[in-house]
Amino acid sequence: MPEHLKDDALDRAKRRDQYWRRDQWKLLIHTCLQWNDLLLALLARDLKMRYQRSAIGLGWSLMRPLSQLLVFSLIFRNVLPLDIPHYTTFVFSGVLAWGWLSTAVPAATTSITGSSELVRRPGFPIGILPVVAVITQAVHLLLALPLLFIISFIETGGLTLSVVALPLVFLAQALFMMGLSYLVAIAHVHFRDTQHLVGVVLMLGFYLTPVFYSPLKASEPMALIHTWNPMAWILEGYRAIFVEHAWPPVDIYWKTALISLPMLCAGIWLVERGSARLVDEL
Amino acid sequence: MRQGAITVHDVGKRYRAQGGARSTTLKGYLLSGRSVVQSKSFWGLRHISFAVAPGQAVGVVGLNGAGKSTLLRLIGGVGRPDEGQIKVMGRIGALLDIGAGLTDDLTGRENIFLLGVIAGMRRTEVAERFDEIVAFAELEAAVENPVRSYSTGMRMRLAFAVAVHVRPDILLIDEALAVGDQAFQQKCIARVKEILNDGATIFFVSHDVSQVREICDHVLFLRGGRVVGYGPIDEMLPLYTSAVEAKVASVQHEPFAATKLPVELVPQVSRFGNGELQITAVELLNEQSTPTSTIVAGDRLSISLTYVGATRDRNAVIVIGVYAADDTCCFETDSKLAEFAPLVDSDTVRIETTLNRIDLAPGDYRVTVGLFSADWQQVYDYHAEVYPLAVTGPGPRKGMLNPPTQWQQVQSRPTATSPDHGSLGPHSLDRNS
Repeated sequence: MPEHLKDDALDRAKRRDQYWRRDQWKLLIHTCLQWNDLLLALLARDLKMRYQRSAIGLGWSLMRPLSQLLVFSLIFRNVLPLDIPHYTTFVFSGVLAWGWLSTAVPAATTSITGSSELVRRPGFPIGILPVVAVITQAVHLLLALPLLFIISFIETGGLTLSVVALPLVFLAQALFMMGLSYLVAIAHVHFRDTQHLVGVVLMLGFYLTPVFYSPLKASEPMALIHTWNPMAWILEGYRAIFVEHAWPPVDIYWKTALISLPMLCAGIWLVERGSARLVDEL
Repeated sequence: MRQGAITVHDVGKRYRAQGGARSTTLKGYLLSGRSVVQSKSFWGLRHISFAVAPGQAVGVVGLNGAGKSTLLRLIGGVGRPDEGQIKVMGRIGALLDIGAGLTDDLTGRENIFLLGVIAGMRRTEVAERFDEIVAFAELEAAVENPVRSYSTGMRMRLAFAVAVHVRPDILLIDEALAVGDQAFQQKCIARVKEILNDGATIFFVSHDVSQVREICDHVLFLRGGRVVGYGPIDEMLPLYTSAVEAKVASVQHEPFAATKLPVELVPQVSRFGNGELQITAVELLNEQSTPTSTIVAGDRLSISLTYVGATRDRNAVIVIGVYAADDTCCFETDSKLAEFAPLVDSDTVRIETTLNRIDLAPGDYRVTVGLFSADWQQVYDYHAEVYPLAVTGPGPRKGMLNPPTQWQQVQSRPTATSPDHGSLGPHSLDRNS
């Protein structure tokens, strides 16, 4: 090929490459935005479906934590006194945070198997389903949050600047739950009794986690169940903010991340890899 | 590959047979032990290869259980083949399971947004096309009512309207055009054609031959998970129709009289047709007019075809094709294309088609012959890739084409660095010399 033609060809190849790369970027951005829209649409669907036809709507979601609050504060103040300062705030923050986990993880478990008509659609990102489950359930927590602020204000006095750390604690919990959600969701595709197993484990977890009692000190014999329990770390974070008006200990963030990120990666990898077989299993 | 192209190469998909299913519970899995008995499986699809160019409309036909929907799903990226590769370039739109994704408690408006976003559109894109979608679905009056109150037809129309407004590069359709009344069906077909005219590729599974004829230009004919044929609609659709007719007749009625053909023909696998005209002899002849099955690349090949049953007003279009070992069509032509109409002077007609040069790479090929009615509505007799043809001699390094090649050195041009020379090609050299 003559030199001048060669330059032309090189030039053309270079330009084509640039176009291609720019297209790839555009495509990537478009896909991300589209997934964001999809996430919002599915969230809106879930919430509307659940509450549109009931008279007090989302108010129902407060019934459960409020009734738990009532029972715990009655029993552990009057029947079996636990001697925890500001017990109402203490137990309400625990009940709310645990409530998010205990509703989101079962919902995530069936999120993939329960949406077979979505999973069978060309181009549908299956990995979005557990995320939708986790975020839908977070709405209950957010709705109850003003109530927690009020209780905390009445019982312990004004809040301090440490409230700004609340989103970080949320994020830590969300990360941990997403890690769990992917794993249980993909397990449930292959083993349909995962659902029951998850129920049992969550029930045990409720008692093993310091939701309505205070965590064991590191020197105590059974302390392991709290020092190695991500939910115990996260509850510590919430309580630092609402009960003690202090900054949550920094180690809860990186410890949660250290546990959650590998779970999340493994979960996403399994969903990605399994998505081919997944369709045949549904 | 260009946007909108589909390439399917040697694809196979295996399914577990019933009874051989693996345990679907953890309990069952633990109880049965890790060494689960090798479960029985069958191939739902096997050795499927074809390519679709951008802007083509391909109809997929075949009897029930041929693997049409499975293939459609694999192309849509739902599930992965156990063998082979599928390459699809571009945004895929799908009309599968129409109406499955509707949410009863939401209104028509909310469902349109939800379905649109699920189908891959941005929310803003749905908003832009919202009025168009509602108008297409003819649901202006009911769009604010919950879908629970819709009739089946209204639901289908809503779902369909969203699906056809996605503007995909590739549109997959699975029997979905059987929606609503005749008028709406016509509207759907018109819309699909519009999408096709915009340059999209269409992949259409249907049992409705008239719809396939209306939309598609190519047909992929599947049978039992294998490709029977892939080609222009004129040739492939009659084959399918004849297979359906044979199934309907269902008796072991053999339309073909026992004739002495050099190869064994299996009805509905390698032989199709209603037998009104019958091929009684096929011979491949070399330059010396002696029957052969081996020729040297570049030689002349004649295909001699004898058939019976023709009358003055029932004569045939003759199709001749050469196929490579992997079912790729190297060459196919027909007598209509050459404006050749055989004269019928007796019951038996003998036609010789001469291919002046067989410039094919050495290898094993097979010859297809067929007789179709003049309007391409019927196939009389069709022998699919049965007559072996071996090509020998020197060949290219790669590829199927084997043209006579010459190498020569020409005087090289003095180094052209100045842009004044422009982009003059080598032919300008010839003129100077």
